[in-house]
Amino acid sequence: MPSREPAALDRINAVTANFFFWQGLRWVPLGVALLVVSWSHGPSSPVPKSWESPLLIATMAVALAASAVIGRWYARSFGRVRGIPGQHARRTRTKWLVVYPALLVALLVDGIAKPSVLVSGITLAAAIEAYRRSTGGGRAHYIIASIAFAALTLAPTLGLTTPGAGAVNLLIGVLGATYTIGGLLDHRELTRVFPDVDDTDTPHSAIAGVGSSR
Amino acid sequence: MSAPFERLAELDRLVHEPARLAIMTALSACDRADFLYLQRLTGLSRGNLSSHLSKLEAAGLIAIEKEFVGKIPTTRVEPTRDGRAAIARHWKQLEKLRQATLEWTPDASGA
Repeated sequence: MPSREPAALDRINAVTANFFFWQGLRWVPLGVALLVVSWSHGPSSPVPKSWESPLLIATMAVALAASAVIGRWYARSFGRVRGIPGQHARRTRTKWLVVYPALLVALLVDGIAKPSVLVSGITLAAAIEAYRRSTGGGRAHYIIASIAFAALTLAPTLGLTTPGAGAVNLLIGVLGATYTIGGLLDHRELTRVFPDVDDTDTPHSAIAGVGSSR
Repeated sequence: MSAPFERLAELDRLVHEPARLAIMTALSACDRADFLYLQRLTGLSRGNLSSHLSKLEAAGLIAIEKEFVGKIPTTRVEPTRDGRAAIARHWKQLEKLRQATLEWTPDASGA
């Protein structure tokens, strides 16, 4: 047996259990929306102040609609999986009771108290790593994103941005880039897990990385 | 004590066959999956996948349900309780076998 067999089967298990999260293109519109929001709120933005909120709502609405369309495309192209009820209950609880409240508090601290370090940076770094681990592991690009967010914590100290709104806006921009690039790379990893379908009905059709089906 | 390799014969061949092992591994990680997902995941042709699914269904390890989603016929595959138990048992056996292989020395077994 080739030594990569257990790893390939582990990957099959991880992808099936977390299929929704590996559909990376779903996250790209949201990433682009966050980039637009960050740009429109930036110091050099030509968008008038009064247009910022409607633009935010419109961008998010378009992103959610696009994400739903992409979700249907995934179902048509890669099939459907229904998860085991309650399988992700712990992750969902942790997300709503720990991660989101922590992010909210961190954003409030950064926005109101304007500390010389970006508290949201290190909080997002931890959140992204927790997301990566709880959705099937792998995907080294999220480790890089996590390190980038941890480094972003020092952005105000290093004078890369002003504490407060400027720093939060920078964070939203980097988060948008993470969603966009991470989503594209997630999709690439997903397509790597799925081998090309062998449409010739021979008794020797193979499973990529798993061996002969004989 | 038998050499670990001799225990390979004790493995359930129905589940251990690579394509079916991949199918059962995927199904053990979800409530159910459709035919297209399993086909994309394994890379098998429709005919080969159907054949493997039929064998698993005949053994009572999976249940197959055919229905229409709008006008599109869909085949849904769900592991049965026996199927989940079989794949869990199989993985446990494989893990034990791996461990035994790591610890095994030819002298100790008299080989």
